Amino acid sequence: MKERISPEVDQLMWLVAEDAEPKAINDFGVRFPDLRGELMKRVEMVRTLRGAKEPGHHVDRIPAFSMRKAEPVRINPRLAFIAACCAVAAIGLATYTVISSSRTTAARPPVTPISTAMPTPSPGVVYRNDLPKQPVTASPLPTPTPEPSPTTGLPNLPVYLTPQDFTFHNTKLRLAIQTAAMAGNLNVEIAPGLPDMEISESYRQISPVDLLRRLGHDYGFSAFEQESGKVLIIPEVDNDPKDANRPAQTASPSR
Amino acid sequence: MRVVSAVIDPAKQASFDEDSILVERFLSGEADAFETLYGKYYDKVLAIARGVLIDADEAADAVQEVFTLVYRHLGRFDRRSRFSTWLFRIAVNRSIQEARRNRHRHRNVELSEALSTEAPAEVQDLDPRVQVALHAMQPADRALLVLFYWEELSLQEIADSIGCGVNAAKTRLYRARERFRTLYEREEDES
Repeated sequence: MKERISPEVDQLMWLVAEDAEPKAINDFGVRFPDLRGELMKRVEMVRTLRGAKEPGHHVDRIPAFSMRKAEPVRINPRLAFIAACCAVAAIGLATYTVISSSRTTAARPPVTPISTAMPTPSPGVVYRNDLPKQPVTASPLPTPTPEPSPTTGLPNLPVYLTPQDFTFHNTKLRLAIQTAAMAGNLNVEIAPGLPDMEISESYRQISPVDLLRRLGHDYGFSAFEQESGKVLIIPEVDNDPKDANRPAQTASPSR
Repeated sequence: MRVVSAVIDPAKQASFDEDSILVERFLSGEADAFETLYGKYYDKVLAIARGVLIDADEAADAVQEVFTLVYRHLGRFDRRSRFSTWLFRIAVNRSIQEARRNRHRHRNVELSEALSTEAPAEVQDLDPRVQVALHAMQPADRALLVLFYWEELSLQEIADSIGCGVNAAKTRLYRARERFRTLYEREEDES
């Protein structure tokens, strides 16, 4: 029977049942004769429910107010257990996250250091370890982390490692060194005694740093890489007039 | 109709003013003012507690706890609203809380005690169909029925007492009434 009653009629029936006015009950019964029985059941239920308030409700003597002591905080053992489980899970998750992130960092390929190896020693060449008076530093040129190029996908090399083409035609050696330094954005310091010969040479796809090494190898000087993009050029042979091993002032490489 | 009548009811307005004066007096240090409030609202709070808790002893105990809370926290009462609404809200919440706690406790009593059919005298006075139906309901649903049918609060006052909107209170009251009706009619059919 309940399924047949529309919400509007149902609400109206509750209103009539709660007011319990005989005229309203009668009017409702006339309008909805099929629901008269249902209405009377609700009227009876509401009356019984309201009447249930009466027994024991009225208090003849109100007891004196007795202030209760503040209750100690009672911890529900089930809630405490759940909270403890959550805390352990959170700690576990945090530990896992830290460990996995550190492993990921460790698994990254190491940054390839710029090779500072000198060219194959040639007879009569003086290298870094043989020059105790020179301020030798272990640090190579700054090695920024190569980042993939957005266009080529190749690592973006610093300019002093970027291969370039160099052509010298009757160019003074000092000027060639300065040209390589400028191309690599390097600061070059040339020690006294460097022969300033004219050179004519062409180098293809060679980085400025490698060019300095190559020039040093070909024309008798050593290029020492210092910190902060500084390169020290040391002649391999003292150009002192007293030196008997003075190299020939020629434009051809010593290769 | 009851919502409107509650707003313009001069008796309630007078009570509102009287309660405000008593609250002011208590907060200014007059302990007697609290005794007056206690005496004025004891019956109503007891009725709410009895409706929610069913058991008369538990209800009487809950009333003392409710008034203890009121005594301690009356300074927090927002005096723009009715004292009675604030008090009923505390009474409803405290009674529901107590009912849940007691239900958990009653589950742990021995089966022989649980099967005892002897009820306290006050409970026996209740219509058995109402008693059984109310027992089977959730405490929060019982509170709604008590506030509406026993304390005859308006929907607005019920909404304020249980901390929700008028529409929500109306919906919850409707559902509580339907649950009660189902249980009540089932009990009626069995008897």
